[in-house]
Amino acid sequence: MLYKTKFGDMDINDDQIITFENGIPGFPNLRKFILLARESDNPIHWLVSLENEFVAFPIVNPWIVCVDYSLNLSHLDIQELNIENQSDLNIWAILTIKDDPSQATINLLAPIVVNLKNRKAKQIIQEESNYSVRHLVKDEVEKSKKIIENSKTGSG
Amino acid sequence: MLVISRKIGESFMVGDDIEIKILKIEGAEVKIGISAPLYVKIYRSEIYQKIVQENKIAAQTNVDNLKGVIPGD
Repeated sequence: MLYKTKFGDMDINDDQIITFENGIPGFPNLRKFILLARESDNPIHWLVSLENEFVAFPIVNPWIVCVDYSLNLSHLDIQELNIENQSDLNIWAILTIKDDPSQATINLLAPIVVNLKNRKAKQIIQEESNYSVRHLVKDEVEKSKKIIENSKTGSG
Repeated sequence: MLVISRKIGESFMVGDDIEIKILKIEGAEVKIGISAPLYVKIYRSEIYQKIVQENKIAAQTNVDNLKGVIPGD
């Protein structure tokens, strides 16, 4: 089926569609999305709305930015997404990118969790964590480098 | 908005299965107990609103502006 998206008209098969049954905070009526990988944007991917041609979120695997990132799924999240196996999960963090790309931030408080098995997805809110919606990407990358260096010297 | 007055230890119902009880009042802070089914999500409003705001900004990202976002990339 043909959809109008932020990336132009896209021909999408039903089995490519990811469903947010309750929408996304701020966009409660948007349920159908696809994951788009453009080689030139790697490692950033796009979560593209099929119902609003102005909506697409730049997303990234949070562990690429923050190596010690932790994620706690509640029983409710597990139930809602019918998660049977952790290996079925795809985790993404949304990036906020304004004019200056070096000031880009990453939302570690509310990651996107996709169950690849049934293609259900949800933006979960880690309310009990110390994460915020706005971590400077370059700071997190810098911290991650130090963690990796320390683990190397530590292991001898 | 509906406004109701409650004393400490008193509660009120939202629908048939959500009970909200006033537990403690200390100065400007109120402790509230909420009994609700598991499928009812409860968030502090300001956290939820922050996520809404951030999502609205992120959703409008220019699709041709990703160079240099991930340093060392």
